Amino acid sequence: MAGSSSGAVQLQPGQLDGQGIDPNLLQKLEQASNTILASPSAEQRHAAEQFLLDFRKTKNPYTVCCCLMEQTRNDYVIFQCACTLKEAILREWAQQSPTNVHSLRDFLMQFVLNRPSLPVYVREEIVLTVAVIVKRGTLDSSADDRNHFISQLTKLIHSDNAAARVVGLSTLSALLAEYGGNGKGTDFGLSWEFHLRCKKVFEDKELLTVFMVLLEALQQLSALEGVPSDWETLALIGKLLALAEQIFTWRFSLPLLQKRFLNNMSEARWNSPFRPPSQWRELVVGRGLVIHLFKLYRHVQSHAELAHVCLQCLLQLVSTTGDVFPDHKTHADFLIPFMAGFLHLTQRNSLAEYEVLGVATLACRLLTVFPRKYLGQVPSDQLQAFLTRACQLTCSYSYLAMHQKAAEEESLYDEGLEQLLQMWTALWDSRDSFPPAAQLCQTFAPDIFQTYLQSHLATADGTAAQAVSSDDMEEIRSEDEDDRERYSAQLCHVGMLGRTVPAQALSQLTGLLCERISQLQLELKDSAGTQAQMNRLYRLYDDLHWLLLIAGHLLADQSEGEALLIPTELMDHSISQAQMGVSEVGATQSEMVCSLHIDRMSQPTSDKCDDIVRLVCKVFMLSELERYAVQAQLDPLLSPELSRDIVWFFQRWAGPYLLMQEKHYPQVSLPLTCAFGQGSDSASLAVQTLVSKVVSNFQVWTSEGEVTEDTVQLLLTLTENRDRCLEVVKCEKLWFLAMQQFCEPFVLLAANCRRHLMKAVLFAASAMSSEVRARYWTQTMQPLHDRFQVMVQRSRGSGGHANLLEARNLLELLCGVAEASRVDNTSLVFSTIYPRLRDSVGLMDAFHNYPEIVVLVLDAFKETITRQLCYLSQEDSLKLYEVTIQLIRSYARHHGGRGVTVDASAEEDDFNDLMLLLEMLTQLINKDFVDFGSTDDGGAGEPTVVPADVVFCGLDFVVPLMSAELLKFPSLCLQYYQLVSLLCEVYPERVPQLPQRLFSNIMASLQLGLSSDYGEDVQKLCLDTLECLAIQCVKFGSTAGQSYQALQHFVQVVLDMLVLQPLNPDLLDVLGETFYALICCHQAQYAQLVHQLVGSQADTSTAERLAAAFQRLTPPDIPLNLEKTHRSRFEARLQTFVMEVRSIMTVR
Amino acid sequence: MADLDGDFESAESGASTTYPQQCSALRKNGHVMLKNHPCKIVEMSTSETDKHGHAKVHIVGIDIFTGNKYEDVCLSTHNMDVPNVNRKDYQLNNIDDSYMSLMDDSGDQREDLKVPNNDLGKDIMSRFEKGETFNVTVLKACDTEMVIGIKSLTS
Repeated sequence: MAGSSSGAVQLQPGQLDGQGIDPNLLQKLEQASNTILASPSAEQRHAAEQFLLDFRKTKNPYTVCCCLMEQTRNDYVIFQCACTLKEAILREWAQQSPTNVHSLRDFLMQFVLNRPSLPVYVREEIVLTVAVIVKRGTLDSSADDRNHFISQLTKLIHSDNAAARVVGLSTLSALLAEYGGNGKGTDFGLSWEFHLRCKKVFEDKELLTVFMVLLEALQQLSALEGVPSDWETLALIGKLLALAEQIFTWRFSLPLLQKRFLNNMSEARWNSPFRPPSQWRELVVGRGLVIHLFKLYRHVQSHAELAHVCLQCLLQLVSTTGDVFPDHKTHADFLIPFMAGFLHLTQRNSLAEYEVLGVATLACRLLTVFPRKYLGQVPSDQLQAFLTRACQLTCSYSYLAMHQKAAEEESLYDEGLEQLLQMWTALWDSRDSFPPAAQLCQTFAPDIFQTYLQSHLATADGTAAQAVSSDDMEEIRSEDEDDRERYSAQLCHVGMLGRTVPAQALSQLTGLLCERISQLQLELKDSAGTQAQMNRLYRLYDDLHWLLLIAGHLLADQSEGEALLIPTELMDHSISQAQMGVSEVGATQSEMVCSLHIDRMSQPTSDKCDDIVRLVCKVFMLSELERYAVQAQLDPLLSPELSRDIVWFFQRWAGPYLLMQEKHYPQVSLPLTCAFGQGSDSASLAVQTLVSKVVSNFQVWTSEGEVTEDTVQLLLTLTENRDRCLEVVKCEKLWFLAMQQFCEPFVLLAANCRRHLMKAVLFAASAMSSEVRARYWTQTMQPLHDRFQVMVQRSRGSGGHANLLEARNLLELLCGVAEASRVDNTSLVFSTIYPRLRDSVGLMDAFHNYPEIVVLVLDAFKETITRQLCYLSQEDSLKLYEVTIQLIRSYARHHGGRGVTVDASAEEDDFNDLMLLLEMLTQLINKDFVDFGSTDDGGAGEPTVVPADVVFCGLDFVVPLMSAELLKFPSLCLQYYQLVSLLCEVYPERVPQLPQRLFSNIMASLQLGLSSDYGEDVQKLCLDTLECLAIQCVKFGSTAGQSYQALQHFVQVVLDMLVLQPLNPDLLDVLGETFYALICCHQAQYAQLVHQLVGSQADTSTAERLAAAFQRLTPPDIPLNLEKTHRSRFEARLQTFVMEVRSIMTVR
Repeated sequence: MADLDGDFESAESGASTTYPQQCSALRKNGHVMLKNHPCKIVEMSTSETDKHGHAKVHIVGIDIFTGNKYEDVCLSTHNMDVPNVNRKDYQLNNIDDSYMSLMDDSGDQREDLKVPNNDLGKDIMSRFEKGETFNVTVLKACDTEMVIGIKSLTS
C-alpha cells in the first residue's frame, strides 16, 4: 500500500544506527526465541528472556528490525521485532521525521499483507504497532493523512482477497482499542489529556467512517447465499463482529459529565448503553443495521463462538439510547425490525445451549430497555406474534429448566427463564403507560403459570421427572441453598403472573392441592412403610412442596419495613367475586372453620367460598393432617421439608391477611374480612391452630434445625403484631410453651431457635393486661432468675462442665430477652435483664477461658445496649454504664496485655468477642446521638458517668489490640473504623485530649486505613474522621496539641490521593471535604506542598499549568475558612482542579 | 448435668471424660469426639441426602492436641460424645529439663507438664529466659493435658 507494492520500504542509509549491527544478531534472536518456545530450564529461560528484553531496548532499531523481519522465517522473532518497533517509536517519537514514521507504518502494513499465513498473534502485534503509530501522530498530523490511511483500510476491506480484508478489519479493531482507551490500550507514557484529546478527534472524525465500513461489510456478508463454511469467510465474520462489538460498546465523550470523565480514566466497570450522537441516526436506524445483523446471525448460528458474539452485539445494540431517537417514530422504527428479527431467529424448533441465555435476555431487553409507552407504535399483530413466541419460549424453558437438572446447563435454563419471566413482569407493570399490556399479559399468563406448575409436579398431571428411585434421591439435592432461596426470583415472577389471572391461578392451585392432600391422607392411612410407598410419598411431598411455594408467592409479597399488604389484584378479584355473588360470606366462613377441624374436613366444600380463602383452607387442612399424623406417630413417614413449607406458607400469608388492617385498603372484600379479619371467630381459631402447630413442631422436629427455625419465625410473625398477639396470648399453648422452655424437649432446640423463642415469649407479654402479665412474668422469668442464681453461686471462682452447659443455655436465653427489647416493654425487660447482666460479669470471670461463654456474655450486653439504651431513663442508663464498665474491666483483665496472635488458619469467627466489643462501644456512642429516655429525675444533677466514659474505658483496651493483621478481617476492620469515626464525630473535643499513646495509635490506624486496600467504605470513614478532627482544630484555632500536629502529615496524604494515586470517583466528594478542612487547619503546610509539587516538575510548561491550577483552586484573595459558602465553592472548584491536574499528571 | 446439686470439684475428678449430647445441639467452635479424638468443631453443615428425608449433620473437627482433621456424618437426632474440656491458668515458676513448674491460684504446684514442642513452646522458653512472669493456660480433655496459651500478668 501507499504505492509501494514492492515489499520493504527503502530505508535511507543515514537511518542506520551508527553503532552498526551485530552480524550474528538474527541467529542469536532465533536461538533465544527457540529456547523460549521449547521448554527450557529456568536458567536458560532467564538468559533468553534477558536477551530479548535487551533487544527490545535497542535504540533506533527501525532499519535493523525491518531487515530482520524480512530475513527471518521465525515467527517469534517477527513478533519480537514488532514489539521492539512499537516501544521504540513511542520512546523516540520526537526524533522521528514524519516521512520515517510513514514509511515505517507502510512497511508494516505491506509486510502483513504480503504474508497471509502469519500466525494470528504475530499479525495482531504488527497491526497493533501500526495502530499505535497512527494514534501517536493524531495531534501532530493533519486529518487528511489519517483519512487517507483509513480509506486505504476501507479499500482493503472491500477487496476480493479475504486475507487482506481480515488484515483491514484487524487494523481497524486495533485502532478502536487504542483510541477507545478505557484503560486497556497500550501504555504510551503520556498524560491522560493526550489520550482524551486523541479519542475526541477520532470520535468526531473517523469513528463514523469506520462504522460505515462496518455497515457495508455487514451488508455484503449477510447477503451471502447459503451458510458459509470456508474458514476464511468465517474468520472474516469473526473479525467483523468483534469490530461491531467494539463500536457498540464505545463510550462517547460527554464533556459535561465530570464524574463520568473520571470514570473514563479508570477501568471500564460495566458496559454502558450504546449512546451514539444524533449524526449517527441515519446509519443506526435507517440502513437496516439490525436486519443485517440478524441475517448474519442466521449464517453463524451453528458456530458457537460466532453466534455468541453476534448475540452480544444484538444485546448491546438493543440498549441504544440517546439523541439518535428524537421521537416515538424513530424508536419504533428501530424496535420493529428487532422484533421481526427475534421472531425469525426463534422460529427454529430448538435453540442451542449457547443461545439459551442470549435469546431470553434479548426478549427481556426488548421490553425493558425501550420506554414501553412506545409499544403502541409497534403494529399490534407483530407485538402479538412477539409475545406469542416469548410465551412459547417461557413455557419451553420452564419445562427444560426442570428436566435438564442432571446436566451441567441447569442454571442456563433457569437463568433464561428468569429473564423471560422478568419480561412479563415488566409488561404487566407497564399497563399504566401502555394500557393494552394488561390484556396482553392476561392472554399469556394462564399458559405460563400452568406450564410452570406442571413442570414442577411429579405425579399424574405433572411432567417433572418420574424416576425417583432411592439411588437417584441421593443426587436430588447437593446444593446448600434450598429451593426457596434458589428460585426466589422465579417464584416471585410466577406469583405475580398468577395474580394477573387470579381466578384461574387460584382454582388451579386449590384443585391440585386438594387432590394431593387426599392422596396423602390415603397413603398415611395405610402406612406400610415399604420402599414403594416411600417413593410415592416422596413424589407427593415434592408436589406439595412446590404447590406451597407457588401459592405463598402468589398470595403475598415479602418486604421489610413496609406494612405488608394484600396484593391489589387479589383484593380486587375477591371483591368482584363477592359483588357478582360468586362467593358468599356464610359459605366462606364455614369453609374456613371446617378446615380447622380435622373431623369436619371431609364435609363437602361449598362452591360459594371465596377463592383465596379456599386456597388457604387447603393449607390449613394439610397442616392439620400433618399434625394428626404426628400424633399417630407416623413422623418417620413425614417430610421435614414439607413441614418447613407449611409454616413458611403460614408466615408469609399471616403477614398481610391474618387479622388484616382494613384501614390500609380503599375497599375491602367482605368474605376476606369475615374469614381473616379482626373480630372474626375463624381468625382467632386460626391463631390458636397456628400456635398449636408451633408447639407441635418444636416437639416433633426438635432436631430438625431448619424446621424449628421456620417455625419460630412464624411464632415471631404472630407475636410481633399487636392485633395478632392479643389473640396469641389467649392460647393455653402459649403459656405452656413459655413455661416449658427450660425443660425437654425445648431445651434441645438449636441455640438460635431458643433465642427467638424467648424473644417471642417476651413479645407476647406486651399484649397482656398488667395483672395477667404479672402472673405470666413470674411463671416465665422466675425460672430464669432462679437458675441464674444457682449457677452463679456454683461457678463462683472457677468454671466447670455441668456449669458450662447450663451457663451456655442461660446466656442464650438472656440474649433472647435482650433481643425482645422494644420501646413498649423497656422498663419491664430492663428490670429483668439488668440483674442478670450483673451476674454475667461474674460468669465472664469464672469462664474467661471459654470463648463461647465470653462471646455470649458480650452478645447479651451488646443486644441490650443496642435495643434498650436509647429508651432508658437516666437512672437506668447509669446502672447499665456501670455494669458495662465492670464487664470491660473483667474482659481486659483476662484478655489484655497479651496482644492478639493471629495465626494463619484463623478465621474472622475466632474474633467474635472483639467484634462484639467494638459493636457494643459503637452502640454506646449512639446514646449521645439518639436518646428517647426520660431525664426527669430533676435533683439528680449531672450524671456521674456518661457514655463517653465507658467508651473511652473500652477504647483504651481495644485500640492497642487492633493490629494490621486483625484489620485484614473485613467486618472487624469496618466495625473498628466505624467506631473511630463515630467517636470523633460525637466527641470531637474529647478525642484530642486522649492519652498520647492511645491517640497516636488511632492516628496510625487512620493512616493504615487510607493506605491499605480495606475498601472504599473504610477510606470514607477515615477521611470523615480526619475532617472532624481538622474542623475541631480550626474552630478552636489550635496551633499546637497532638491533634493539630498529627493532622499536618495528612495534608500530604490526602493531596496525593487527590492528584497522584488512582482515584475512586465515588470518594471525590469526601476527599474534597476532608482536604478543605485540612488545608484550613494547616495553611502553611499546604502552601509548602504546592510549592514542592510544582517545583518537582521537570517540564516547565507542566509546572506552570500546575501552579495555575492550584491558583485557581485556592485563589489567594479567598480566605480559607469553614464558612459554608466557601466550603461549597471550594468543592465545585476542586472537581475542575482534579480533572485538570490529573490529565496533566497521570501518565499512561 | 445430672450432678447439678453435687459437689462440683469432686464431681469433676471422678467424672467421665465425655458426656453425650444430641447432635443437633452441637455447634461450630464447640467440642466433640470424632473417631475417639477430642476435636474442636470447625465446620458443621446439615446435609440432606434426600430432600424430604430427615436431617443429617456433617461435622469436621480438628483434634485439639494434634491438629489432625476428622469428620463424621450423623443423624441429627442421635447423640454424640462431647469431651469435657477444661482450661486452667497456672503461673510458670520454673523450667527444668523442659518440664514446667506450675502453680495454680490456690498455691498447688505441679511439675508434670512439658513445654510443648511448637511455636508457643519457643515463646514460653524465650519469655522465661528473659525473666518475664506470666501465666500459661492448660487445656485438659480425655486425660490429656497441654499448654495452649500464654497470658501476661501486666494488667
